[in-house]
Amino acid sequence: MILLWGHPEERPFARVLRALHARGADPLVLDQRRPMTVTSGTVRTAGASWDLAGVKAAYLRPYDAARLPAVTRSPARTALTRHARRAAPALCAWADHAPALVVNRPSASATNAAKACQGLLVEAAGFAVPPSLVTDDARALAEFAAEHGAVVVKPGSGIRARVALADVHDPDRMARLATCPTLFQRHIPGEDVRVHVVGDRTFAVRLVSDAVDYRVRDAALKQSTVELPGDLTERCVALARALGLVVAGIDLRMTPEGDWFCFEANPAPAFTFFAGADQVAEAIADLLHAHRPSS
Amino acid sequence: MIVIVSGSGHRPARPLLRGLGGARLVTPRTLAGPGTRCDPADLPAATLGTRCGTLAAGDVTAVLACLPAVTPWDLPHIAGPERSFVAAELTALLALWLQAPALVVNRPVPGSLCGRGLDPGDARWAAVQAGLPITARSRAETRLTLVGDRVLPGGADPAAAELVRALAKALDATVLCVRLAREPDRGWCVHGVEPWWQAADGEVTAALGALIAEGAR
Repeated sequence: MILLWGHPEERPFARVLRALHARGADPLVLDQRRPMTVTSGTVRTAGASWDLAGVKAAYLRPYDAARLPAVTRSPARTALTRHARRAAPALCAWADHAPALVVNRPSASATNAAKACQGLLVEAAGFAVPPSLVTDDARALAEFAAEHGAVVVKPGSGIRARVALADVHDPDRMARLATCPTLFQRHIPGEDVRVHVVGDRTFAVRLVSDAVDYRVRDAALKQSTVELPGDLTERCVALARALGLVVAGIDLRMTPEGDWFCFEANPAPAFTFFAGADQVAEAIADLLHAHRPSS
Repeated sequence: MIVIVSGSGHRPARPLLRGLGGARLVTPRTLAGPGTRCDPADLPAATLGTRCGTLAAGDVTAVLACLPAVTPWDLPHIAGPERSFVAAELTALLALWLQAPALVVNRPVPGSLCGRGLDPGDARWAAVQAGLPITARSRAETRLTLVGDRVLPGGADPAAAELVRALAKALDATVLCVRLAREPDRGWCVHGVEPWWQAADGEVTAALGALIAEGAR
């Protein structure tokens, strides 16, 4: 049995589900917006139950169910939230230990919730990481900027927010810095390359944009699929493995001098944003389908 | 200096706070800037800004990590809409700071600042994978705490103590509090785990002190 857990209307989830259906698979879809209980290795939804021991492959893209609009707007939101709060840790505990292919195990995904910490692992895997500082101290930031020049500010946790150039001369922003330690990195000029690792396959996309963060809505963004030079393919696969990730979205940047930096490895990449998304979905479906029980 | 990092939920037991003379308690609420500087490339020089002054990693001999993550409930002084974000950022900061070269009990793992051995579901699955017996009984009969290689309270049934050691190995935990129940046909079985720092009595605190002294040598 193949298990999918998350929000079925979310694009990457829907794309992988479609690719699995195209392969004749009929996966068990656990919709986070519906009531569900998980006890002693059994998952129960309205009117049905499944033994998790039968799961040979799983694709997990859970959100905080208590924040999903379908839950918060539901008249039954209290019950749905209670179900979700109990079921999610139980399913995560199972997924961390299951003798199945799990894309990705929650404990491996968690490295991305502490980016500077993940950076240590990325560096240990042989990639250059931009010089970084986590601080709530304007003076420390000023010294960092004096040493490194332009500096970007980004969330140090897994919460998504855009990356922006830090203005160390803005007194209001510097005063607010004391309220929350923040991650700063040397700004690395160059071209972005997003590499999706799926098992031992890679799918690379070159991203050209004038914006500091190409993901912002108004950024003029050009995408094209590319081949990775040299041994980068092997290094990206090795990095994903070192982090315990079966699927990863690795953010690289190549400087004008030809040096490569790695910003992070995303354990739940929103690959549908990128060129070549169908290939990534097909590869994930192939991987999951290959682990189905033989008939 | 010994540092106890704790959140507002699952506060450490009083013997632990009193028994480790001079231990400094750091809570998310006391983490207040300026003063925090953590360069991942130079963690021995990292500092944390707190309400009681700056805490230098170089002055810390041991850290007792007594919280899995900073939660919004730990931060009543932060404006409501910002709490979740600040909680996540402080968790990320502590995850980095705990990589500094002090003795950390228990070492953090991705997703938990206090290592494994807190989530009952995780502990039960780990036990099953390690071939250890688990029980579905509603009540535990006894509670044992492992500190290093000692199982407390002293005089525990050797079979129960061995089960605790085996579970701690499976969870890679230096300190672990395990609830056990005895099944008629299988003997001692794992019932669950609980925060060791809440169960810490004088004996556990003394054993921790010895563990830290040994680690500092």
